[in-house]
Amino acid sequence: MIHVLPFVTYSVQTTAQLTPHTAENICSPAELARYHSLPDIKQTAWLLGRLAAKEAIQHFHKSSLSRSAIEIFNHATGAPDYRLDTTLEPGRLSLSHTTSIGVAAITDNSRKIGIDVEHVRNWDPKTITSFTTEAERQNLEAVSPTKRNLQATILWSAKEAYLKLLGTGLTRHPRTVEITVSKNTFLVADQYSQQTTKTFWTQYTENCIIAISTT
Amino acid sequence: MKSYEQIYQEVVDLIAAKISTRDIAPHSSVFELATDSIQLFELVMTFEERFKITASYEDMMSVKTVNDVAHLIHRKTQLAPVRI
Repeated sequence: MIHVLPFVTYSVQTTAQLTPHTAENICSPAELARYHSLPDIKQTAWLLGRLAAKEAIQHFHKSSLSRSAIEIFNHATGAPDYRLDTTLEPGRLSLSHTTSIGVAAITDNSRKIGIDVEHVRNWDPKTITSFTTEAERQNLEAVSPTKRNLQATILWSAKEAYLKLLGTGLTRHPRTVEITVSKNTFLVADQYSQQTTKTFWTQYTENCIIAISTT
Repeated sequence: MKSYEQIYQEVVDLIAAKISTRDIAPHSSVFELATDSIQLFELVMTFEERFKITASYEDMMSVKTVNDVAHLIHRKTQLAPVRI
């Protein structure tokens, strides 16, 4: 399903959209080889990410390109990109997946972009301490225990979306970025840069958070 | 001081405990073994805690295989100051 924000288009795909032939129908030969090389438990998540990316790309280019003619690949840094069998100029792509949801966001190539999707989980307090700043922990303490897992997931997802925008992903420690969550947006304070970002987060389902960051 | 082989086996045991799999080979991708980014992050935290190599987060997140992780930890523990 396609969603359009003022600054970005994003697609969300769930396992309900998959059929036994989805991989053969949407993948290029190189992608299909990659799909079959993955462990079984990784294949569905990977495919959901590709499906979301291809829907977002089709919508972005307002194109009737077949999905198998769009080839998504990863740079050495892990950042996703795509090739088209046309002269259309690719946009900037980011994608993310869990075991049951794939998401992808696209914008024009003058911008940077990062998207993340996470299931709300029962967080280990040690993990929260490891990835949050002191101010973030204080904000979490102020939230009722029943909402703390949700709030921690929003924080993580916001950080990961922003770090993807930078191109570092988690090779940069998430604690080097401080997030202040507001209603459907978040503010990023980066220890190392003054990057201005437009941000968005949504509780897509009761147990699923999507966060997007773009320049 | 632990040998490379000891560290490799401990790394495999830690991954197996965290990810509930025994299907781990030296060239297995750590990123592909982990279910998601949070599990990967927790795994790196576990390595740091077990091997006391707190300054190596960025290095640890840059390696690819189980073998690479064990080599990195081995190298870091060799460089660590001896506590007396």
